[in-house]
Amino acid sequence: MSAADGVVVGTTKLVDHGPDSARWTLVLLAEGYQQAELAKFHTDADAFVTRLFSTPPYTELWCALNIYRVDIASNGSGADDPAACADGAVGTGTMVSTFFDSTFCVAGTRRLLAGDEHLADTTAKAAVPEVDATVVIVNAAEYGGAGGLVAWTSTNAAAGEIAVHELGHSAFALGDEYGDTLNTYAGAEPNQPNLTIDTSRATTRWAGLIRATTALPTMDNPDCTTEDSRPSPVPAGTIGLFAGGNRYHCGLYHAEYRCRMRALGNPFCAVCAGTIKATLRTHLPMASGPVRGVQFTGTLAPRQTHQWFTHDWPACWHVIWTVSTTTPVTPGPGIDWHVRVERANRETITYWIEVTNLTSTSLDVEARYAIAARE
Amino acid sequence: MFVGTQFTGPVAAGASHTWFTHDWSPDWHVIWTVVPLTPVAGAPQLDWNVAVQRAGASAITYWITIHNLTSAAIDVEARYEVLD
Amino acid sequence: MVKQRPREKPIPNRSWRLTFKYEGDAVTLVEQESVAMLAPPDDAALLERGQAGFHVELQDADGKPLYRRVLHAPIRDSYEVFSPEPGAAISHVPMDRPHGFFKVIVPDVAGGHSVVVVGPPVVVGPPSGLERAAAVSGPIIRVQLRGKPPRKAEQR
Repeated sequence: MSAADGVVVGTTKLVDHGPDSARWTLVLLAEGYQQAELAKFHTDADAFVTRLFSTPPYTELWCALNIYRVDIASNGSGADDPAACADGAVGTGTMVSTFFDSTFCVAGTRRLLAGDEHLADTTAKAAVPEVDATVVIVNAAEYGGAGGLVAWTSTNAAAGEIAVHELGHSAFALGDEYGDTLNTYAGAEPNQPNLTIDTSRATTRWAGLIRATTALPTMDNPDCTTEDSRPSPVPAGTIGLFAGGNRYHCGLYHAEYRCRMRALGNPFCAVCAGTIKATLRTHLPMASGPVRGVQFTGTLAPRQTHQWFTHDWPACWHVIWTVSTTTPVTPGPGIDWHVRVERANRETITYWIEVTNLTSTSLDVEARYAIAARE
Repeated sequence: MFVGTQFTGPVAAGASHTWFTHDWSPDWHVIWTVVPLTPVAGAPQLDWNVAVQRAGASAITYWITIHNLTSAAIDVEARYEVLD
Repeated sequence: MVKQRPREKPIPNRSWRLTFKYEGDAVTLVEQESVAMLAPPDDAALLERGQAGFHVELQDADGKPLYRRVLHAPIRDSYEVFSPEPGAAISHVPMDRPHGFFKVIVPDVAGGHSVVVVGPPVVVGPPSGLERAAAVSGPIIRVQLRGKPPRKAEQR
């Protein structure tokens, strides 16, 4: 099972916010989809894009991203599903010929789903040379996924969280915020942005985010041989120092009780979100132009108010509206105008421009746009 | 010229929320625009107005009030365009 | 302090992307590419504060760092295992031996000469927690960028 077990069919830009050389570019690869199933891959890829857009801080930095999907038709459907796994789980025993040779039961653990990561990486780079990160979507409904050079996720509704957590590691260098099999960390300050050994209020890594009334450490672990399962002593969203990190139960601290880097199904904490933003911010569209023009003209009867709308404006463009009258009026003001905004979908905006004729005569008006940032 | 996002945040259904941002140079020509982050098609979701405070000899504070025109909470993004 | 105009210094949108393979404690360069993309921001501030862990450096011909970026576990000896239950504990299972690939992206800036991956030594076999924590970071692999003359100390 290998690249001989499928073919790259084509590449589609799903989210286009400008040149790939300037944006943070994510590539979604199809694995275990036969030719006739590629329409399903399109749906599954769209679902992942929707998930990412709905995940702060990606939502507010959305204009920093470009996203592609790469259609790959495999000879077989799904992923290898070993009949028996060392962890005791039982599978169907079905083995399929797929492009990246993905399989459940990696390292004897059924939920570990992964394939040929080097081939996935080279495939993504061949399709989109400026790729920043890659997620492989495996056509399997069972929960599974993995990290590494690329992120792997099945189509299970909960599995997309695996890829989001793994992107936190690979793209933004976030550390794990949980303890696993290691007890007490006794090393030096880690270089990762979301972990620290420093419990001093004045000097700890995210000192500027911690309220003076928050105890430090906020939650220490009384038993360093296991994870602390007690409820948080502070309200949700409180930033402090909570024990656990890089697989150690004690000795390392993370910023909030809940964070996606500690357990899936949680939002990113403020420190992790800030780290992601700091990287993505460099990819946002810069000022350009401005590109100016007249979007529409019209005539208003005396004292009339009329609302126009103009749709399909890219949501990432910085658009400034002004309205002027082309009919000379003296004395006093001729028109007033007001702009309202609608996010029609993830990528486009509709502007609603209401103009009022303040005079007792008909006036011609024109609505002008100035685009201050496009790409 | 340079542009950016100054803040994002939620506005409750039918409500208005005011943010302020301080220490802007009075020499800058600053325009504020606001867009929704929550997609809901069919009708306007927000408008906004800007009030200005000369907080000191060399500092301007902008007070940006965003009005949610819908019956559901939305997230919003306030953007600046500095023209000089 | 009045808000500052963003720095006018342009961010280079050409970078070097290097892909590495690791097998046990052997790390080798697989591919070096010049790509039209932005490198991630410099992490000098993070590394001034803490050095435990992995990072990559772009160095000049004298070995002076021009750019540094923190890396999370580029060389792995275990897999992260997740659960579909929201909030469930995440665990790790060991690899039979460390093996895999990782890549780094560094900006293509004037004076850039070598790329060095720095981190704790690769340990084949399970260390104790104390051993991991005590391991001192050092260069794991150094790659001279394509088209660059040897470092001055190495010129003959």
